[in-house]
Amino acid sequence: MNANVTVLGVSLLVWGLVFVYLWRLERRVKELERK
Amino acid sequence: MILRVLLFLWLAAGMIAGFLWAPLVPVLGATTRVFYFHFPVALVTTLAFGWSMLHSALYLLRRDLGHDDHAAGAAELGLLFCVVATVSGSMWAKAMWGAYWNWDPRETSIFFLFLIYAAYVALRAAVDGEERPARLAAVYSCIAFVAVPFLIFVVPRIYFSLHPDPLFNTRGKPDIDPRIMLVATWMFVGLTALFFWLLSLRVRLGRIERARQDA
Repeated sequence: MNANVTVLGVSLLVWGLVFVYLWRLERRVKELERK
Repeated sequence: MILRVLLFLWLAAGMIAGFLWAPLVPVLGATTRVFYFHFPVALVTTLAFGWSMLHSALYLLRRDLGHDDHAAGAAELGLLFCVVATVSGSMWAKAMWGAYWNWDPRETSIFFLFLIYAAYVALRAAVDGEERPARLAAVYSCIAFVAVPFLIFVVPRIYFSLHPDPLFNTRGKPDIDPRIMLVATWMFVGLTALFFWLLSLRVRLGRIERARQDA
């Protein structure tokens, strides 16, 4: 596997983790808005 | 939520295209790929500070704290994007010029921009109450934004800079491979959408906090 694909894989992983974090934060904000 | 998933796919597609499809700029080599991240993030920084200035002016006109939430949120996010642009730029500088920091005009000007908006955040934190920090920060934001176009677009063009040449040449045409421009634009659109998502979370949290304090 070349370095290019490795860096791309790491970038996608980081973006995926950030996205999951923001998704969960969005759900929490919606819960608070409902209360 | 579909829009959020689309955003995820949009930015993922941009990264894949940047790494596997778009060509490399001969003089930059493999570091070309930093451009798809660093340049759009720097543009979003400018957009964020402009959004903050706009809502600061609206707050001063209407005295609606919703505008203050937007102004504060946009300034904080702009500061975050400014740090990301500076860090990614310095990593690129290390690869291209051999040192993380050279006090290049563009590096220096973004550092000044960081200080200006760090002072905005410090100002809000230092003043108690709700209306007073909002009013002071709004005035500061409107004045601070005067520096933004000057620091981002004018200063780096007045002085000799190690930074890559402007995208547009003297004939006013793009001086860059169209595939590179497409991926950079794609990433800019995606990162702008990400900025507005983060801003909406920040504004909604501000509203919830205010509602709880009033209750």
